Amino acid sequence: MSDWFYLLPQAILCAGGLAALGLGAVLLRPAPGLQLGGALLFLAAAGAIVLALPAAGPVLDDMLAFDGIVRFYQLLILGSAGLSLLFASRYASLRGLAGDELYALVLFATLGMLLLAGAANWVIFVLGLELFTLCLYVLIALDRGRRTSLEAALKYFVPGAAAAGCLIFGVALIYAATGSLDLASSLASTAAGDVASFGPGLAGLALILLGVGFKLALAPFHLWAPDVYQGAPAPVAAFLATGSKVAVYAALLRLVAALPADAWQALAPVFWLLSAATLLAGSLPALTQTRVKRLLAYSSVAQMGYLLLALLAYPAAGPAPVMFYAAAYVLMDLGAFGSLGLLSPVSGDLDALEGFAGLGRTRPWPAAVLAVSLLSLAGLPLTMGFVGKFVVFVAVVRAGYPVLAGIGILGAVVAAGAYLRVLGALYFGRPVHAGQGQPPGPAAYVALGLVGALIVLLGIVPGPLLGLLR
Amino acid sequence: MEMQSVDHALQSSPWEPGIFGLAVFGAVVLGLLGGLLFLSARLTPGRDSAVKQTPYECGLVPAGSARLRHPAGFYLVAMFFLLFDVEAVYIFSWAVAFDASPASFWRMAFFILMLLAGLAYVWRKGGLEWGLGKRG
Repeated sequence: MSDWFYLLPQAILCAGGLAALGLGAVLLRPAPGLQLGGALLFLAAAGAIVLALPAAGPVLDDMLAFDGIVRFYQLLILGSAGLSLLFASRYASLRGLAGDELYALVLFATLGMLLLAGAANWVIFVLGLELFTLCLYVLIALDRGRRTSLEAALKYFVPGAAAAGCLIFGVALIYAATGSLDLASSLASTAAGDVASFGPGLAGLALILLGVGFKLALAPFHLWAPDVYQGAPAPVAAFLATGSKVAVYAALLRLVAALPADAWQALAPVFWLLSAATLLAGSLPALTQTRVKRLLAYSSVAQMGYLLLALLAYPAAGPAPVMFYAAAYVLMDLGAFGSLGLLSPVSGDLDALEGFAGLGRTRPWPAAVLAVSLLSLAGLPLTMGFVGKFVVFVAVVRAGYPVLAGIGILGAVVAAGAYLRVLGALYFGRPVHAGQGQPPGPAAYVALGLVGALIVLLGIVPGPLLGLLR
Repeated sequence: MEMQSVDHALQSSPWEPGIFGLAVFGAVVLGLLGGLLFLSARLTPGRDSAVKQTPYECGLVPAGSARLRHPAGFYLVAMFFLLFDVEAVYIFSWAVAFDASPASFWRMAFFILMLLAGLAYVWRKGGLEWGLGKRG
C-alpha cells in the first residue's frame, strides 16, 4: 500500500472545502441543507478512511505519524467538526451567516487539525497549527455586523500572530541546535550532556510551549479566552473550544512521548506550574462570573488544566487518561456551547445569567443538554466528566503529584458552585422572556441527542472506551 | 516514492550559541538609542505651542476630523493583488528549478489551477466590482 493513502483523509477534506466554496460560487445562495449534508458527507468519508487505514510508523518521508493514538484524536476532531456544523447550520441561517465560507472554513480548519494531530515533523506541526488558526480567525468574525464578534476576532488574531512568531522561532532554535526538523529525532538528540544542543533545544521547547500555551489558553496565556468565547458566535466557540484544543493536545502528547528522560526532567516542573496556574486561573474567576459565556470560557481554561495534569502523568500512567478526558471534554464543551447557541434569540447570544431563567421549562431539550454538560463539567457522578476526572486524578496521584491533584479537586469544587448557579437559573428561575428562542431544527436535535446521550452513556459505562484506549 | 528521502543522520549544525555577540549588539543598540534621545533632548530649543500638542503633529494645523470614510473596495482590491502577486514568487522559483519531469509539471499545474479557481470565486462573488453600491 502506498504511503500516499495516508494523505487521503486530508485530501478529502481539502476537496470538501473546495466543493463547498465552488457550490457557493455556482449557486450563489445554495440551500443550507445541501451545504450541511455535503460537508457532513466529506467529514464522514474522511472519518471512514481514518478508521480503515492500518496503523503505521511515520510515513511520507517521516512527515506524518499514524498510530492508534493519532487515529483516536483524528476521529475526535472529525466528530467535533461534524457536531459543531450540526449545531451551527440553523443557527447560522437564522442569522444570515450561513454562507459557503462557514462550511468551507470548518472543513479547512479540520484539515489543519488532522495535520497537527498527525505531525511527525516540525514543518507539518506549524503548517497544521497555522492552517486551522487562520480559518478560526475568520470563523470568529463570521457575524461581522456585530461589534463583539469583530472584537473577539481581533483579540484572537493579535496575540495569535505573536504566539505563531514565538512558535516558529522555537522550531528554528530546535533546528539550529540539532540539525533536524524531525519531531522525534530532534527531541531525542537534545541530550543533557551536550551543552551546545541542550540549552538552545530547551529554549526552543520553551518558545514552542509558549505558542502552544496560547492556543490552548493555558494560564499565563489565557487572557484572550473569555473575550473571544464571549464574542464569537456560540457554535463557532464550540468548535474553537473543542477541535483546536484536542488537535494541539494530540501533538503535545507525541511531543512528550518523544522527549528523552533528561529533557522531561527539565520540563516536568514547567508543566507542573502551568497546570496548577491554569487550574486556579480557570476555576477561581468562575466563582464571581455572572455571564455564562465567560463562565464557560473560564471552565474551558480549567479543563485545559486537567488535560495538562493527565499529560504530566503520561510517562507514569500511559495515554489512556489524557485521551479519555479529551473525549469527555469535547462532548461537554460541544454540548454546553451548542445548546447555549440553540437557546439564544436571534438578536444576540444569551450571556447574562438572568436570560437563562426558567428555560428548563420553556425549552426543555436544549436546556437539558446544557444541564447535563454543566453537571459533567462540574464532575458529578453518572456523567463522563466524573469518570474523566476520576481517571485523571488516579493517574496523577500514581505519578507522584498529590499536591497537584489536590489543587485540581479544589478547583473542581469551586467551579461546581458556579455551574450550579446556572442550573438553578435554568430550572428554578422565573421565566422573563417567554418563547424568545427559535426552534432548533432537526439537525441540531440530532447533535443534542448524540452529545447528551454520549455524556451520560459513557459516564455510566466507561469500561469499553477505557479498555480500548489501554 | 519519487521524493528524495531526507537524510536524517544527525549532524550537529555549525551554529554555536554565544552570549558575546548578543551583548555587543545589545550595547550598540542601547548606546545608539540613548545617544539619540539624549542629543535630541539637549540640542533642541524646545519651544512649546498648541499645534505641537496635537496628535501626529508635523508642523501643520490639522484640518477636519480624522474619522474619514474610505471606500472599502480599495482594501479588497489591494488584498487580492497581494494574494495573487505572492504566488508569482512560487512560480518563479519553480521555473528556475524546473527539471522537466512530469511530476514537477503537474504539481505546478495543480497549483495554478487552484489559483484560477480562486480568481473565478472572487469574480463570481463580486469581489472585483469596483465602486460603491454595486455589490449586494
